[in-house]
Amino acid sequence: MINEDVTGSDDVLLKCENLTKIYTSGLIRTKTVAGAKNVSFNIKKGEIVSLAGESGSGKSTVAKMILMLLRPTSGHIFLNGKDISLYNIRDYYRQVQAVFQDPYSAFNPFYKVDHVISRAFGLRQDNPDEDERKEIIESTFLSIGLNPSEVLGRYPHELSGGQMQRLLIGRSLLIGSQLLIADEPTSMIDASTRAGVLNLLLRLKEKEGLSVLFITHDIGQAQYVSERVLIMKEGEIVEQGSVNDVFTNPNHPYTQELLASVPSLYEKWEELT
Amino acid sequence: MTEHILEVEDLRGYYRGVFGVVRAIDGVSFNLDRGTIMGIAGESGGGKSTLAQLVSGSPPPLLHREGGRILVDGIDIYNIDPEELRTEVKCKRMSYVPQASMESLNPVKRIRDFIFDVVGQRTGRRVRSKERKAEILEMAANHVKTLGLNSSVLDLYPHELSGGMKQRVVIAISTLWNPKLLVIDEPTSALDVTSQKRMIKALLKLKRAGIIESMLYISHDLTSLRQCCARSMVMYAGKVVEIGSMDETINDPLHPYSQLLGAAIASYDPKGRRQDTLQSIPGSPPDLRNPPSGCRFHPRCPYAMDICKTTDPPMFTVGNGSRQAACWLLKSKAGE
Amino acid sequence: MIEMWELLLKSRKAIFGLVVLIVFILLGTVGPLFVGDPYNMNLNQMGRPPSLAHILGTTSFGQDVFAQLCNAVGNSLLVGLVAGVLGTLIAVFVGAVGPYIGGLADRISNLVTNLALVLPLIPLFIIIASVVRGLNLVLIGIILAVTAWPWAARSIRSQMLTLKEREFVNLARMSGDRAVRIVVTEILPNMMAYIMMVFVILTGTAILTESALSMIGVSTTPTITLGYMLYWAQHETIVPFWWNIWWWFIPPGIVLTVILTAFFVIHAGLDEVFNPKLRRV
Ligand SMILES: Nc1ncnc2c1ncn2[C@@H]1O[C@H](COP(=O)(O)OP(=O)(O)OP(=O)(O)O)[C@@H](O)[C@H]1O
Ligand SMILES: Nc1ncnc2c1ncn2[C@@H]1O[C@H](COP(=O)(O)OP(=O)(O)O)[C@@H](O)[C@H]1O
Ligand code: SF4
Ligand SMILES: [Mg+2]
Ligand SMILES: [Mg+2]
Repeated sequence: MINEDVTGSDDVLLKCENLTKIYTSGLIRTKTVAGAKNVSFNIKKGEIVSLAGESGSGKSTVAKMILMLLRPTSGHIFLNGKDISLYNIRDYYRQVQAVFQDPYSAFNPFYKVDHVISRAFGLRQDNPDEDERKEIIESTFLSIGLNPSEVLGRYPHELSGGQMQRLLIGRSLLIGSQLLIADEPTSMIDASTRAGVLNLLLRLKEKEGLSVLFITHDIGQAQYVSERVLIMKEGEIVEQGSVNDVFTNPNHPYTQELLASVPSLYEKWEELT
Repeated sequence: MTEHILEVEDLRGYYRGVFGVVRAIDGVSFNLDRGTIMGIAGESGGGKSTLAQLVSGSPPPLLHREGGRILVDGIDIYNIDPEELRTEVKCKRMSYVPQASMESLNPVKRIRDFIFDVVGQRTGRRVRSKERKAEILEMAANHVKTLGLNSSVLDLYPHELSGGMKQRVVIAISTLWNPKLLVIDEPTSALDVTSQKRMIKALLKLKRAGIIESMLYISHDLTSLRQCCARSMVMYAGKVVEIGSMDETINDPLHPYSQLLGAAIASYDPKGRRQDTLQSIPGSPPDLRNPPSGCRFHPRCPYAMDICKTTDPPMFTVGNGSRQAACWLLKSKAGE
Repeated sequence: MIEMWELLLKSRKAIFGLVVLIVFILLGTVGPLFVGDPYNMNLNQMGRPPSLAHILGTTSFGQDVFAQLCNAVGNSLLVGLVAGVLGTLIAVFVGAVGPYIGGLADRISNLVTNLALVLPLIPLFIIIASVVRGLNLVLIGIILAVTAWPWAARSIRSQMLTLKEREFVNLARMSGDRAVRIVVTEILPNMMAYIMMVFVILTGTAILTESALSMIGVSTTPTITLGYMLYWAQHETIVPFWWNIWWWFIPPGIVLTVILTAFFVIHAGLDEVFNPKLRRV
């Protein structure tokens, strides 16, 4: 079950091999925590893969290593078959971008939201001028259901969480990324806005062939949005496979436990009442 | 002694600033019975946190109460002097845990030292003596244990705790004086399912242990509200659209907005993946500087009628009187 | 951001303090151009009480007290400014850059800060000042800055530790920005409130420290500062009792008190505006 072998097939976009990250903290009495242990998986082109697990299980650690925000202690990551440490930073970020959990902290409160968008243009190779930029923004934003005049020129606290998340997705589309690392992009926004973001990801996958690593602790969303799922616990991937297999027939005891603690809208946990 | 721990009457709260006037709370009324947990649900930007800040008695600088009353345990909190508010209402009668409050722990202090600072600030007297420190630590340890944490967390720094642990520590600090009412804003939104479950259990335990009596629990996550609240209130664009028991609101929502909210939830189905597309509510929430006329939901409501565009629907009471909703569709059903 | 200025303008305390300070800054910068040489000793006019010719009287050397006062205000503010600007820069550098880079850099900057905190720097300063000849105002400002930054660096560090975890920092890294650019354009602006507060406190304290030191005769330079005036007013009176020449020491005393109060009030105003937002439990 673990380490399904898809190597060799050329539609693999991202490949992680035995990723390990050991955090050390403390000045004198150093403590070490394994953020990720021997994590291996692939993401194909045009695929949404969910990474699920409780908080502290290492989901964000994996995301940050893929985003080159953290250096792995050991292991390798390949994008299109090339080790990511061999990429020029800007080339790499042109292809891989992210949306984070807390939209409010993703925007610098000091600047209007335009700041983030204009910084993103710096990654493009074609150096569009003012007018071209406007056009690109217009068409990209409209395609994801954002009205540019409604969001641009405003400060982050004047936008809703859903608008901010869309803006970030828009940002990575502007850059032209092929892979989006979405680290719990919907956990701070409400259900109806969330449904919009999930549907947007599905649409971008269909239309643009975008690949997404969808990190979540919400099993319902993972089930809705992805074909394949990785279950993580204490830094390790304990189970992976297709959504239908894993969520209807969990093998690993942890997966079973996780699925059991999912609250349901229509019934209460008995032990609580 | 009234039967309600909290009474809110026709409350209005506006943000005033260079951006204009944001009518974030516009005519909200409800009561909370003693010993009850009430959940407040609604879309982001709907005014849930604003309501909580007003109820807390110290709204942030740009937020102003522009009308209405708030009675906490019978005390009109906007009609007493600030000193009395601090000594009589805050801490003793009501405690407020803001959204994202776990970020308010001081990153360079151990939890225990931070607690001494908070106590010092609240009582206006710095905590110095050994005996007083020991006394406070004992109280804190007791609360921390009720919330399912080991009392050794008091000796740690915030960055050594997970989000859920920090959140529970903040709750322990806020309930140090056993307030009758706890107003808590989005305590589970930043947590994963397992920690959410732990958090909800912890809150219920706090009530069962008699540390708190009633709770106003704010969350946009209906599923977790569902697990612990007896009553529910749904807000949209600064107004209350539906009040009733949690069960009824989930299983048989009256207001079109509550119905759509329930339908937009991607719930896990052990039998397999759903095939249909999740519905999201079309359009976006209104700009509260310039809210729509009539029913504020009409631009997005699938059932909107002519009257909806011009006249604001009142709260119609349905059934045996425990359910209310503000929608013209209910005019005929309501016993008027 | 807009919110911040707006709030600041709403704080009566901050506005009041700023206005008072601006008045003194004008007095100290423009004043000296109009009042003549503060050192000029008029031997016919020694120790005279206030009159039309000398509105604050003369010193026992026959120098015009008002002329001295204008220069003293300017010079004291200069010391404060030098110490404030430099101290803030050091505090920001040590408190922000180390923690941003993290790891060893953070440990070193933290260690340096803690060492500087426990070293008895003020006594050290007194020794330096009494040994080194030819101290000028800028040098004194520098020494004061070097002794006063550690606590500020500490509070900036704690701000930094929370801010650098924000996702917008990661987003900037993912736009290809380098560390220095991120600290300067993304993080520091969000600490402006804090940095302003640090600057106000450091400046006010430096003025007070300089005055206190000159008043007790340490660090006396030939430059007129408020402390210098107070020192000479105590030590060089031709009249037998010092209170007989009240016009010499009361004006600098009052001015010093008012300037420090202005700084204190500005600080209180900033605190009022920013604190409720910074920590709300
Ligand atoms: N400081 C502020 N200045 C101006 N407008 C504000 C401010 N804070 C909130 N608002 C506005 O008030 C309205 C209500 O916001 P509030 O934070 O109460 O929503 P909420 O229901 O708690 O949302 P969430 O689920 O995102 O926490 C929104 O329109 C928001 O834009
Ligand atoms: N900067 C860090 N320093 C030390 N430990 C860390 C750091 N970031 C994460 N960890 C630890 O690594 C583990 C995995 O964390 P994380 O990847 O953030 O999990 P998740 O995203 O699944 O919630 C946790 O035990 C966490 O405490
Ligand atoms: S009052 Fe009209 S617009 Fe409002 S919710 Fe009811 S039907 Fe829809
Ligand atoms: Mg995470
Ligand atoms: Mg809120």
